Amino acid sequence: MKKIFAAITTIALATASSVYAEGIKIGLSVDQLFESRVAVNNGIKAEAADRGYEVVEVVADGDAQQQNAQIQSLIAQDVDAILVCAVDQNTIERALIAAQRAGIPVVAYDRDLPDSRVVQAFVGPDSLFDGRLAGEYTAKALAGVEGEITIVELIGALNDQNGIDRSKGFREGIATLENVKLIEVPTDWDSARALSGTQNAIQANPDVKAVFAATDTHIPAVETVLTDTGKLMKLGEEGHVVVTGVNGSNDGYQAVVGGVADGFVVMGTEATGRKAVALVADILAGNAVERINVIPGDFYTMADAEANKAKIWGAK
Amino acid sequence: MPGATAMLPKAIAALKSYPAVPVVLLLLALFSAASPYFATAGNIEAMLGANAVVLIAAVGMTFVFLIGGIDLSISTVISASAVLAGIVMAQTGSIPLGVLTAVAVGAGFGLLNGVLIGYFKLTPFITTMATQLIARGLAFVMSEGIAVKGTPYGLLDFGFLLWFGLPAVMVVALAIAGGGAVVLGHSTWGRHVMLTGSNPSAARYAGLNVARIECEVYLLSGVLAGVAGFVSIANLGNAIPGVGDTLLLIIIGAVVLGGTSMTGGEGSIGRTVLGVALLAVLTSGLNLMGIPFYDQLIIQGVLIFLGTWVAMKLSGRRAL
Repeated sequence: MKKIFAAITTIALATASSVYAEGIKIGLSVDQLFESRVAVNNGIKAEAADRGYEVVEVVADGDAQQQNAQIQSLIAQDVDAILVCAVDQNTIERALIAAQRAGIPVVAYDRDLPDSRVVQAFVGPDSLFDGRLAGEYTAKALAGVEGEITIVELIGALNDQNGIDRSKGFREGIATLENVKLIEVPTDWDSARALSGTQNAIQANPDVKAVFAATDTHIPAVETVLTDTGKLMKLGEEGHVVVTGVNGSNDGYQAVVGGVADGFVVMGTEATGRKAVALVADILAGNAVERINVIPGDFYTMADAEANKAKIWGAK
Repeated sequence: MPGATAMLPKAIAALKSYPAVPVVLLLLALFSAASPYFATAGNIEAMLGANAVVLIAAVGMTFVFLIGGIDLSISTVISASAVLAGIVMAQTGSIPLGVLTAVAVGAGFGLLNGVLIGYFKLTPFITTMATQLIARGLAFVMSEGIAVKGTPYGLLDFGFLLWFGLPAVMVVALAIAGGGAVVLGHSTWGRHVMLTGSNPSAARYAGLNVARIECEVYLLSGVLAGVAGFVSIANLGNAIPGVGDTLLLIIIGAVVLGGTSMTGGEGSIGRTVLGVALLAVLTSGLNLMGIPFYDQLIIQGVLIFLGTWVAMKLSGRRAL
């Protein structure tokens, strides 16, 4: 019996070892852990778990050099593929080239790297579409307004394609409006800058009709300014300022159900994460993949936000 | 055993001169055991390449420490040098012009620091803090906060080149360290630097032009920051305006951990090389263990405290 048990144990261990050795290991290089990124990462891990893949996650905390070093460490760990959300455009190119030289395919997620010669595919939010949704709603809401229409636009970051595209999409969406005065507030995705910038913009332009926040986490700042300037009118009230944003955070959700914001575009974070892993699987299988894969968001208002709470990734 | 007995004092003396050695060896053993990937050729190569920038800048900072000064601007001068070199190379395609630009920018800031501190007797800490802000502002204004694209492929290839089995960027860094060691240990100017640091009054009585020596040291620090900035482009693939943001404490930490005194007159380039090696091994090992960046900063900070304390005990010094 001892010999039989020993033999079975040996076979079991050998089999387990073999299964593990054949498993696919994905390196996940993350720029920073904030809410929407965590939501996408959760989608990645869920899809990887479903497929039996191992995920090695490294977080650069916003430091480009650290992300370079971390990608080098993923290469050293013999990962089969790398999923990367870059700290910044153009800051990790050498590390990505090193991955390419090691025969490791790279998929960018959430933040595209259009200038990279290494990235084989990108999956992320359709920021142009998302921005356009907010713009079109704003245009529709202000269609009857006569005279000059002042709109404050909180811009994300100029070194982030998502920020660039949300802005571009929003402007496309409001293109049907005539006589628009657009006030730009650069925020670099920073709440403090959003607050001070919005204060300056609205104090200088008290007749503001609408505000667009590139990320809905800045809507609380907008609400603060509107309250301080006596301009906070709920949706449906006389003098209401149209407020919209993109993201899907709890800040956005609360603002919409509370009537402060008209609506927000909710990104498909889990779908993005799952698609990222699917792209890796396709590449490793030798299949052709699209270079750009975008996941459009959904626009929710007070009328339907609560009913769709389960689909809003940040809603609590 | 007479031989063994005689060896002990020499071993102790070596430890006092190079206090970082036991820590480096301990970390090497620790991480080799903790991660099967740590001692691989690929990881060692990546570790060496990633720290060439720190080593080059740390050589300059070592000279500054030896005269009892400090150069807080070294990190952002790296940034400004990288950005301006990146812009020049993107527009001209010329790598030599990029090198000249980086060195010129570094020399400019170094000379500014040197004149203000050496001749106008301004405080090193305040002066170089001001210069740090100017350099950072320059880096971000010229780049508009975005990494400068258009790095010549030749420079990217250089970033991957191996010389003597080592990353070419690290060979450059080691050559600079070697040159620095020779200058410090075997030249008249090097002896003047050491004397200026250990006893400025005695240096003046000996007829040395202390102001000029101080100016020259900061100029050297600036030039090496310029070279480090240029090398950072090869290391990262593009010129990044924020490249220096987290480097200052690593550079200072490496010099301090290596055993060079911040009060001047005591230290060497060899110690600095070991200090850089220590932090390089630590960062690489922690990355392989999956430790997030901010947690690593905590560990590095604690290690700098411990390393400094150990160095103090070994050397018998009472004050940092």
